[in-house]
Amino acid sequence: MASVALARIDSRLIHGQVVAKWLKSINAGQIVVVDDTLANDPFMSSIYSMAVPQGCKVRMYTIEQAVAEWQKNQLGHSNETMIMLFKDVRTALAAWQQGLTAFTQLQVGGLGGGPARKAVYKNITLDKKDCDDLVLLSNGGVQVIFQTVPEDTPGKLENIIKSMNM
Amino acid sequence: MVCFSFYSMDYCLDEGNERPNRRDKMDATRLPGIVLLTHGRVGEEVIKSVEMIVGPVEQMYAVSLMPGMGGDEFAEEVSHAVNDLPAGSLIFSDLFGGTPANTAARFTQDRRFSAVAGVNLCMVLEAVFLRKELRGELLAEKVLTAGREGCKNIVSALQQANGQDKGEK
Repeated sequence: MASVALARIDSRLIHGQVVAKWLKSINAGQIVVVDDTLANDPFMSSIYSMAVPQGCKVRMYTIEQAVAEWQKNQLGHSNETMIMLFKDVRTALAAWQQGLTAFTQLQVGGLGGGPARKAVYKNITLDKKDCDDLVLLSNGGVQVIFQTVPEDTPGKLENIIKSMNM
Repeated sequence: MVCFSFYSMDYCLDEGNERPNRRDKMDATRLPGIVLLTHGRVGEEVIKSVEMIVGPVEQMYAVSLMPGMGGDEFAEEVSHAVNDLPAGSLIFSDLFGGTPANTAARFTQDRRFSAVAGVNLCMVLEAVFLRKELRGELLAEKVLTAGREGCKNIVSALQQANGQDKGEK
Protein backbone atom coordinates (compact mmCIF):
# COMPACT_ATOMS: atom_id res chain seq x y z
CA MET A 1 0.00 0.00 0.00
CA ALA A 2 1.00 3.56 -0.50
CA SER A 3 1.44 5.54 2.65
CA VAL A 4 0.12 9.03 3.20
CA ALA A 5 3.06 10.77 4.84
CA LEU A 6 1.30 14.12 4.93
CA ALA A 7 -2.39 15.00 4.77
CA ARG A 8 -2.78 18.77 4.48
CA ILE A 9 -5.53 21.35 4.16
CA ASP A 10 -4.35 24.22 1.96
CA SER A 11 -6.65 26.49 -0.02
CA ARG A 12 -3.92 26.97 -2.62
CA LEU A 13 -3.45 23.19 -2.98
CA ILE A 14 -0.21 22.67 -4.93
CA HIS A 15 1.95 25.81 -4.73
CA GLY A 16 5.46 26.93 -3.78
CA GLN A 17 5.38 25.92 -0.12
CA VAL A 18 4.07 22.46 -0.88
CA VAL A 19 6.40 21.81 -3.80
CA ALA A 20 9.56 23.48 -2.48
CA LYS A 21 9.28 22.51 1.17
CA TRP A 22 7.07 19.54 1.87
CA LEU A 23 7.73 17.46 -1.21
CA LYS A 24 11.44 17.53 -0.41
CA SER A 25 11.20 17.22 3.35
CA ILE A 26 9.15 14.03 3.23
CA ASN A 27 10.55 12.85 -0.11
CA ALA A 28 7.11 12.22 -1.55
CA GLY A 29 6.70 10.47 -4.89
CA GLN A 30 3.04 11.27 -5.31
CA ILE A 31 0.52 14.01 -4.64
CA VAL A 32 -3.15 13.16 -4.36
CA VAL A 33 -5.54 16.09 -4.49
CA VAL A 34 -9.05 15.42 -3.26
CA ASP A 35 -11.36 18.07 -4.67
CA ASP A 36 -14.65 17.67 -6.52
CA THR A 37 -14.28 20.84 -8.60
CA LEU A 38 -10.68 20.27 -9.63
CA ALA A 39 -11.16 16.59 -10.47
CA ASN A 40 -13.76 17.69 -13.02
CA ASP A 41 -11.68 20.51 -14.50
CA PRO A 42 -8.85 19.23 -16.74
CA PHE A 43 -7.47 22.70 -17.44
CA MET A 44 -7.16 23.71 -13.79
CA SER A 45 -5.76 20.25 -13.02
CA SER A 46 -3.04 20.78 -15.58
CA ILE A 47 -2.17 24.17 -14.03
CA TYR A 48 -1.64 22.55 -10.64
CA SER A 49 0.32 19.66 -12.14
CA MET A 50 2.68 21.72 -14.31
CA ALA A 51 5.02 22.88 -11.55
CA VAL A 52 5.44 19.53 -9.83
CA PRO A 53 8.92 18.09 -10.47
CA GLN A 54 9.15 15.32 -13.03
CA GLY A 55 8.97 11.92 -11.41
CA CYS A 56 6.36 13.02 -8.90
CA LYS A 57 2.93 11.78 -9.88
CA VAL A 58 -0.15 13.91 -9.35
CA ARG A 59 -3.64 12.47 -9.13
CA MET A 60 -6.84 14.48 -8.85
CA TYR A 61 -9.83 12.72 -7.34
CA THR A 62 -13.34 13.66 -6.38
CA ILE A 63 -14.18 12.75 -2.79
CA GLU A 64 -16.14 9.78 -4.09
CA GLN A 65 -13.25 8.55 -6.27
CA ALA A 66 -10.72 8.97 -3.47
CA VAL A 67 -12.87 6.98 -1.05
CA ALA A 68 -13.37 4.25 -3.67
CA GLU A 69 -9.61 4.07 -4.46
CA TRP A 70 -8.75 3.95 -0.77
CA GLN A 71 -11.24 1.18 -0.07
CA LYS A 72 -10.23 -0.76 -3.19
CA ASN A 73 -6.48 -0.95 -2.62
CA GLN A 74 -5.53 1.91 -0.31
CA LEU A 75 -4.76 4.23 -3.21
CA GLY A 76 -2.60 1.82 -5.16
CA HIS A 77 0.16 -0.70 -4.73
CA SER A 78 3.13 1.62 -5.07
CA ASN A 79 5.41 1.98 -2.06
CA GLU A 80 5.91 5.67 -2.67
CA THR A 81 5.13 8.10 0.07
CA MET A 82 2.27 10.43 -0.70
CA ILE A 83 1.02 13.90 0.09
CA MET A 84 -2.76 14.24 0.25
CA LEU A 85 -4.24 17.71 -0.21
CA PHE A 86 -7.64 19.20 0.51
CA LYS A 87 -8.70 22.75 -0.37
CA ASP A 88 -10.76 23.29 2.77
CA VAL A 89 -11.78 21.76 6.08
CA ARG A 90 -15.23 20.84 4.79
CA THR A 91 -13.76 18.61 2.05
CA ALA A 92 -11.34 16.88 4.43
CA LEU A 93 -14.14 16.12 6.89
CA ALA A 94 -16.53 14.92 4.17
CA ALA A 95 -13.88 12.60 2.70
CA TRP A 96 -12.97 11.23 6.12
CA GLN A 97 -16.62 10.69 7.09
CA GLN A 98 -17.24 8.87 3.82
CA GLY A 99 -14.41 6.46 4.55
CA LEU A 100 -11.17 8.06 3.39
CA THR A 101 -9.39 7.05 6.59
CA ALA A 102 -5.99 7.35 4.95
CA PHE A 103 -4.56 9.66 7.61
CA THR A 104 -4.29 9.74 11.39
CA GLN A 105 -2.79 13.22 11.40
CA LEU A 106 -4.16 16.19 9.49
CA GLN A 107 -2.14 19.33 8.95
CA VAL A 108 -3.93 22.66 8.51
CA GLY A 109 -1.34 24.40 6.34
CA GLY A 110 -3.00 27.33 4.62
CA LEU A 111 -6.48 28.86 4.67
CA GLY A 112 -6.86 32.36 3.25
CA GLY A 113 -8.76 35.26 4.80
CA GLY A 114 -12.40 36.20 4.28
CA PRO A 115 -15.43 37.58 6.07
CA ALA A 116 -16.02 36.06 9.53
CA ARG A 117 -12.64 34.34 9.38
CA LYS A 118 -10.10 34.81 12.13
CA ALA A 119 -6.32 34.38 11.85
CA VAL A 120 -5.35 31.68 14.33
CA TYR A 121 -1.86 30.57 13.38
CA LYS A 122 0.42 32.68 11.17
CA ASN A 123 -1.79 33.46 8.16
CA ILE A 124 -4.12 30.50 8.63
CA THR A 125 -7.71 31.58 9.23
CA LEU A 126 -10.71 29.64 10.53
CA ASP A 127 -14.40 30.37 10.85
CA LYS A 128 -16.81 28.79 13.34
CA LYS A 129 -17.79 25.99 10.93
CA ASP A 130 -14.11 25.09 10.29
CA CYS A 131 -13.57 24.94 14.03
CA ASP A 132 -16.53 22.63 14.57
CA ASP A 133 -15.44 20.40 11.67
CA LEU A 134 -11.89 20.11 12.99
CA VAL A 135 -13.22 19.18 16.44
CA LEU A 136 -15.29 16.43 14.80
CA LEU A 137 -12.14 15.07 13.14
CA SER A 138 -10.21 15.35 16.36
CA ASN A 139 -12.90 13.58 18.37
CA GLY A 140 -12.83 10.85 15.73
CA GLY A 141 -9.18 10.19 16.46
CA VAL A 142 -7.45 12.39 13.86
CA GLN A 143 -4.64 14.50 15.31
CA VAL A 144 -5.15 18.02 13.94
CA ILE A 145 -2.10 20.27 13.78
CA PHE A 146 -1.39 23.75 12.37
CA GLN A 147 1.82 24.15 10.41
CA THR A 148 2.64 26.07 7.23
CA VAL A 149 6.25 24.99 6.56
CA PRO A 150 8.45 22.22 8.04
CA GLU A 151 10.40 24.81 10.08
CA ASP A 152 7.28 25.79 12.05
CA THR A 153 6.58 24.39 15.50
CA PRO A 154 3.18 22.76 14.96
CA GLY A 155 0.23 24.41 16.71
CA LYS A 156 -2.26 22.24 18.58
CA LEU A 157 -5.99 22.33 17.93
CA GLU A 158 -6.96 22.78 21.58
CA ASN A 159 -4.77 25.88 21.92
CA ILE A 160 -6.09 27.28 18.63
CA ILE A 161 -9.68 26.80 19.76
CA LYS A 162 -8.99 28.58 23.04
CA SER A 163 -7.54 31.49 21.08
CA MET A 164 -10.60 31.59 18.80
CA ASN A 165 -12.87 32.38 21.77
CA MET A 166 -15.87 30.81 20.07
CA MET B 1 2.52 45.21 -42.65
CA VAL B 2 2.98 43.43 -39.37
CA CYS B 3 1.57 39.93 -39.33
CA PHE B 4 1.80 37.39 -36.55
CA SER B 5 0.01 34.42 -35.16
CA PHE B 6 -1.19 34.25 -31.60
CA TYR B 7 -2.10 30.62 -31.10
CA SER B 8 -4.83 29.94 -33.58
CA MET B 9 -5.85 33.56 -33.96
CA ASP B 10 -4.16 35.61 -36.60
CA TYR B 11 -3.70 39.28 -36.22
CA CYS B 12 -2.80 41.41 -39.14
CA LEU B 13 -1.99 45.04 -38.87
CA ASP B 14 -2.24 46.08 -42.44
CA GLU B 15 -3.11 49.66 -43.12
CA GLY B 16 -5.75 50.01 -45.78
CA ASN B 17 -6.37 46.28 -46.01
CA GLU B 18 -8.20 45.35 -42.86
CA ARG B 19 -10.01 42.04 -42.62
CA PRO B 20 -12.88 42.39 -40.16
CA ASN B 21 -13.08 38.68 -39.50
CA ARG B 22 -11.95 38.12 -35.91
CA ARG B 23 -13.49 38.78 -32.55
CA ASP B 24 -10.25 40.35 -31.43
CA LYS B 25 -9.61 42.21 -34.63
CA MET B 26 -10.03 45.55 -32.91
CA ASP B 27 -7.67 44.46 -30.16
CA ALA B 28 -4.86 44.03 -32.62
CA THR B 29 -4.59 47.78 -32.95
CA ARG B 30 -4.56 48.42 -29.20
CA LEU B 31 -1.34 48.42 -27.22
CA PRO B 32 -1.03 45.08 -25.36
CA GLY B 33 -1.22 45.46 -21.60
CA ILE B 34 1.45 44.38 -19.13
CA VAL B 35 0.33 42.91 -15.81
CA LEU B 36 2.61 41.81 -12.98
CA LEU B 37 1.46 39.23 -10.43
CA THR B 38 3.80 38.69 -7.50
CA HIS B 39 4.17 37.45 -3.93
CA GLY B 40 4.05 40.75 -2.04
CA ARG B 41 4.65 44.11 -3.67
CA VAL B 42 7.53 43.19 -6.00
CA GLY B 43 5.35 43.87 -9.04
CA GLU B 44 4.34 47.34 -7.85
CA GLU B 45 7.97 48.16 -7.22
CA VAL B 46 9.09 46.79 -10.59
CA ILE B 47 6.66 49.21 -12.23
CA LYS B 48 8.22 52.09 -10.26
CA SER B 49 11.70 50.94 -11.28
CA VAL B 50 10.72 50.65 -14.94
CA GLU B 51 9.24 54.14 -14.85
CA MET B 52 12.38 55.40 -13.15
CA ILE B 53 14.33 54.18 -16.17
CA VAL B 54 12.01 54.98 -19.09
CA GLY B 55 9.48 57.43 -17.64
CA PRO B 56 5.70 56.95 -17.33
CA VAL B 57 4.36 53.80 -18.99
CA GLU B 58 0.71 53.27 -19.93
CA GLN B 59 -1.28 50.02 -19.73
CA MET B 60 0.95 48.48 -17.04
CA TYR B 61 -0.54 47.15 -13.81
CA ALA B 62 0.47 45.08 -10.78
CA VAL B 63 -1.61 42.88 -8.52
CA SER B 64 0.12 41.89 -5.29
CA LEU B 65 -0.63 38.67 -3.44
CA MET B 66 -0.46 39.68 0.21
CA PRO B 67 -0.13 37.46 3.31
CA GLY B 68 -3.46 36.05 4.37
CA MET B 69 -5.09 36.64 0.99
CA GLY B 70 -7.04 33.70 -0.41
CA GLY B 71 -6.34 32.38 -3.90
CA ASP B 72 -9.86 33.20 -5.08
CA GLU B 73 -9.68 36.72 -3.72
CA PHE B 74 -6.41 37.22 -5.59
CA ALA B 75 -7.85 35.77 -8.82
CA GLU B 76 -10.79 38.17 -8.48
CA GLU B 77 -8.44 41.15 -8.30
CA VAL B 78 -6.44 39.87 -11.26
CA SER B 79 -9.65 39.47 -13.19
CA HIS B 80 -10.47 43.16 -12.63
CA ALA B 81 -6.98 44.14 -13.77
CA VAL B 82 -7.00 42.15 -17.01
CA ASN B 83 -10.65 42.34 -18.06
CA ASP B 84 -10.39 45.34 -20.35
CA LEU B 85 -6.95 44.55 -21.77
CA PRO B 86 -6.68 43.66 -25.44
CA ALA B 87 -5.90 40.16 -26.68
CA GLY B 88 -2.19 39.47 -26.80
CA SER B 89 -1.50 41.23 -23.49
CA LEU B 90 1.23 39.70 -21.34
CA ILE B 91 0.94 38.59 -17.72
CA PHE B 92 4.18 38.37 -15.73
CA SER B 93 4.51 36.34 -12.54
CA ASP B 94 7.36 35.62 -10.16
CA LEU B 95 7.82 31.95 -9.24
CA PHE B 96 6.75 29.23 -11.64
CA GLY B 97 4.34 27.00 -9.73
CA GLY B 98 3.49 29.66 -7.17
CA THR B 99 0.00 31.08 -6.74
CA PRO B 100 0.62 34.21 -8.88
CA ALA B 101 1.87 32.02 -11.76
CA ASN B 102 -0.97 29.52 -11.29
CA THR B 103 -3.43 32.40 -11.35
CA ALA B 104 -1.80 33.79 -14.50
CA ALA B 105 -2.23 30.37 -16.09
CA ARG B 106 -5.99 30.53 -15.53
CA PHE B 107 -6.19 33.60 -17.73
CA THR B 108 -4.50 31.87 -20.67
CA GLN B 109 -7.24 29.30 -21.09
CA ASP B 110 -9.16 31.18 -23.77
CA ARG B 111 -5.86 32.11 -25.47
CA ARG B 112 -6.45 35.85 -25.15
CA PHE B 113 -3.41 36.41 -22.95
CA SER B 114 0.11 35.08 -22.71
CA ALA B 115 1.86 34.46 -19.41
CA VAL B 116 5.46 34.05 -18.28
CA ALA B 117 7.07 33.34 -14.91
CA GLY B 118 10.41 34.48 -13.47
CA VAL B 119 9.84 38.20 -13.90
CA ASN B 120 12.84 40.50 -13.76
CA LEU B 121 13.41 44.11 -14.72
CA CYS B 122 15.03 43.14 -18.03
CA MET B 123 11.96 41.24 -19.11
CA VAL B 124 9.53 44.01 -18.27
CA LEU B 125 11.66 46.63 -20.03
CA GLU B 126 11.85 44.39 -23.09
CA ALA B 127 8.06 44.01 -23.05
CA VAL B 128 7.57 47.77 -22.74
CA PHE B 129 9.72 48.33 -25.84
CA LEU B 130 8.61 45.35 -27.96
CA ARG B 131 4.86 45.47 -27.41
CA LYS B 132 4.56 48.23 -29.95
CA GLU B 133 5.39 45.62 -32.59
CA LEU B 134 4.69 42.25 -31.04
CA ARG B 135 2.06 40.71 -28.83
CA GLY B 136 0.95 37.38 -27.45
CA GLU B 137 3.24 34.38 -27.77
CA LEU B 138 5.81 36.13 -29.95
CA LEU B 139 6.16 38.87 -27.36
CA ALA B 140 6.35 36.27 -24.57
CA GLU B 141 9.20 34.39 -26.25
CA LYS B 142 11.27 37.51 -26.91
CA VAL B 143 10.76 38.65 -23.34
CA LEU B 144 11.90 35.29 -21.95
CA THR B 145 15.06 35.43 -24.03
CA ALA B 146 15.79 38.95 -22.76
CA GLY B 147 15.22 37.80 -19.19
CA ARG B 148 17.63 34.89 -19.52
CA GLU B 149 20.29 36.97 -21.22
CA GLY B 150 19.95 39.64 -18.55
CA CYS B 151 21.21 37.25 -15.86
CA LYS B 152 25.00 37.34 -15.73
CA ASN B 153 27.80 36.42 -13.38
CA ILE B 154 29.55 39.77 -13.24
CA VAL B 155 32.87 38.34 -12.07
CA SER B 156 32.93 35.90 -15.00
CA ALA B 157 31.91 38.67 -17.36
CA LEU B 158 34.77 40.86 -16.09
CA GLN B 159 37.26 38.00 -16.39
CA GLN B 160 36.06 37.31 -19.89
CA ALA B 161 36.37 40.97 -20.80
CA ASN B 162 39.92 41.11 -19.36
CA GLY B 163 40.88 37.88 -21.08
CA GLN B 164 39.68 39.25 -24.39
CA ASP B 165 41.69 42.45 -23.86
CA LYS B 166 44.87 40.46 -23.23
CA GLY B 167 44.18 38.20 -26.17
CA GLU B 168 43.90 41.17 -28.46
CA LYS B 169 47.20 42.67 -27.35
